[in-house]
Amino acid sequence: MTSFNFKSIFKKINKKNNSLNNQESDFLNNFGLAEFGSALDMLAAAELTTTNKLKKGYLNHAIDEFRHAQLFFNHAKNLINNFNNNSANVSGVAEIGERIRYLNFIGEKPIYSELNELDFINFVMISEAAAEKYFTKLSNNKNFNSETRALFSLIAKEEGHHVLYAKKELEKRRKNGVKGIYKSYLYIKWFRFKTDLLSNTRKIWTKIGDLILALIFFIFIPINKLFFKKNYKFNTYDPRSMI
Amino acid sequence: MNKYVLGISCYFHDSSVSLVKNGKIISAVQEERFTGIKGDSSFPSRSIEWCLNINNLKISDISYIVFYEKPLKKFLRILNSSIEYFPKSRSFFISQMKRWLSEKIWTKTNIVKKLKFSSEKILFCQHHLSHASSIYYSNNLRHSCIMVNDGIGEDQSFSIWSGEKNKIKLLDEILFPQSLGLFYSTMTSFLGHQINEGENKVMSMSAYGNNSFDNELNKVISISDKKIFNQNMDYFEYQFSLYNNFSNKLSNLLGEPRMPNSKFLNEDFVLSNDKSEKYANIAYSTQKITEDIIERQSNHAYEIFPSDNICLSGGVHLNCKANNESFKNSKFKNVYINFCPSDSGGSIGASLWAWNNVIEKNENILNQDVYLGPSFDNDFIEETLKDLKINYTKFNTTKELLSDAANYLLKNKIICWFQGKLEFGKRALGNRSILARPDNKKLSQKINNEIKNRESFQPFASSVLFEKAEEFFEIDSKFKNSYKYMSVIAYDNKKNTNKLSGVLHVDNTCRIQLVEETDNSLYYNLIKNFFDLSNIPLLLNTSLNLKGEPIVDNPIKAISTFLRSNCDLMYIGNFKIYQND
Ligand SMILES: [Fe+2]
Ligand SMILES: [Fe+2]
Ligand SMILES: [Fe+2]
Repeated sequence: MTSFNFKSIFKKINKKNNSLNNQESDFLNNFGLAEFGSALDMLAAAELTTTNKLKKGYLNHAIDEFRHAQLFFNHAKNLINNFNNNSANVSGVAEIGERIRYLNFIGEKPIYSELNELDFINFVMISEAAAEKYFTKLSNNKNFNSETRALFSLIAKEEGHHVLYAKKELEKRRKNGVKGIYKSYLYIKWFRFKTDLLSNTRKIWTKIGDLILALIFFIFIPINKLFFKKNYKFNTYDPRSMI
Repeated sequence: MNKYVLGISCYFHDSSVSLVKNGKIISAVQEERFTGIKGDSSFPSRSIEWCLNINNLKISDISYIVFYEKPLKKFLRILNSSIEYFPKSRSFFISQMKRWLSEKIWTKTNIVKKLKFSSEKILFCQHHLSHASSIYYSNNLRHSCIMVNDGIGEDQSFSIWSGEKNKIKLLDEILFPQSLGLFYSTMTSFLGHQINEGENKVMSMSAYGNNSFDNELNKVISISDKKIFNQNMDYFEYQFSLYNNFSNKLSNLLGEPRMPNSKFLNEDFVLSNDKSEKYANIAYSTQKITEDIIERQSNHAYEIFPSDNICLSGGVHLNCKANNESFKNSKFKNVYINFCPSDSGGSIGASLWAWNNVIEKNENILNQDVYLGPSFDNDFIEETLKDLKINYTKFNTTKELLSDAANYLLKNKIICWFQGKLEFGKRALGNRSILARPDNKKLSQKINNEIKNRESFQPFASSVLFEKAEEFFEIDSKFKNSYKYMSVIAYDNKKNTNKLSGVLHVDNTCRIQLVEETDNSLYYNLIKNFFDLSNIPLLLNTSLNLKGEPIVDNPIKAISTFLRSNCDLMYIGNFKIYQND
């Protein structure tokens, strides 16, 4: 299950890495982080659900997603190791955390607590189906080597299983006379559309933001540099002050 | 009426929350434990919610909220760096501004909005003062020198404080960009490890090296009589770059940086090739110069504030080897490092500082507990196991539980141990642990390779019965209060080396936790039970989590971790669960 937007995932982590293997391994690492984020979503669902009989399913799903993450990480590691890389400058643990949040749209609360149970099951079904479709497409992409493609197709297959579990659960509910299943489906479609849109526009906003900040940098910083005193000292003792 | 202060640390790394009631921390937790994101730096909403709920409080019951640093002071330092290093600082400036303008600069507003709290009652404590408070106000050494050493606060990277009559005063400081902590982190990155995570790996690597890189490292950083140390900033880029910590000049000096995950030891646990030898030597010199500088710092601290006691805080003092080496000849008779030297302890320090300086001005004498997080009763655990359709064995008494677990430890089983309240800080101190007998090298290799996916050169800590420690290790009375938090290493005293083969590092040291019954009776008695069967009064202890994940907080996360691990059994509350069913 993945609440992230696939198309926005291809982002360089380290600007020094520009060889093909490095790019591919960055790409795979990002998938790993995205799967990891999905695992956290499912784990939170297992913790929070009051529908006791769903607990086990959510937990098993989380364990699958953790495994997917590990598969991507390991594969990325092998790619890098087969290639002579000269740039260490490893990023910090907090930055990786930030990437997990960024890729998965993890907010302050887990996604489970923002939706009701029915919506969440629909969310799982729709997101898993999107993942299945996307990974299937990647598994046919000849730009990747055969091992990478095999990995994509394995993951796609398992995401397909997750779709089926969710579908089965919805079917059971329909048979039990639960109403509003289709309405919930439409709501989640809309919900996903919004996050996808946000994710795509986020890229544009980031570019614009970078541009404005670069302008500020080249205009205001040099002016300040002229008057810059190196030995600055700010000491206030007001406990209410942020400075 | 009871008064409460809530401390918050976030937006840098390892966010956390702590709640003070009448001068004592009653609850504290790191946000990563709830979110599952290691080192999570986001606003700790879930931790705050938990802290309030568990103590039946509403936000209106809180007298003050204290943030662990002065955000705007830090912001000005970043602007100054951008100006000073113009135009090299372009991408640094852009990425920092994005972070700052999107949330950090709005810290006060965020707290007001998210928590619906009056802005009048929000306080800001300086970063290093928070560190100093986190140790000074959580113990009963009322006359003490305090030394803080970290990467960077607002602009301080090192500071010396006096702790006297419940007041803390700044005596000396070193400012950014000079920073022993950032030097060590830079070397961590150079040696292929993650910053804020891999520093202890550098410490472990150093045990395999020799001093052949001392001259090179001395060009980078060296002891100075006037300023304690001199750092040549030409070798660094962290002053103006977020992604590159070191410059090409460092690579020219030391050669190619180490590739992450590249092989360091071969199957026989010796350095795998010339390259590893080089990296081991670089790690050795990095560690050695760090120890020398800290020793110099502490001598300086003693000169300006002579006291029997010294309290240490800041991330650099997670380096338990340096804590030992730098202070073993020190004039301070009592060296105290507690469970939260790193930035997650900032919330603890900030809240204790406010209590002791804004609310109460009286001395209060206390010894702070470290088990401050969530706990789960047996009913809850049993219900969870039933919901998850997991087979379990139930123990009716603690005695049965302990003797069963001790028996399996004796039989070389690796067990997960989930009991009582979650501990605060980086170390698992016996409530969320993976345990094994300490005298079996194969077991520790298995934990490294198959369970925690650590590199084979990383040693394990051990938990030792307090009264038996001297039969195994060289125990220094200076550190008597610090051993219980796994803050210092100790050397094997060669009396029982064969019983330590799984926990002894190649330099004959071990990071030890001395366990007293009064600190954690269940854990103490588990080790005691194992001792009765094996005549070995200690256990290998590593945190209950897998690679890249934080220590688990609740039963579901514990079970998820156990099922994905190759551990044999898990004892969770009064229950035992198995693999494969
Ligand atoms: Fe999935
Ligand atoms: Fe997946
Ligand atoms: Fe710090």
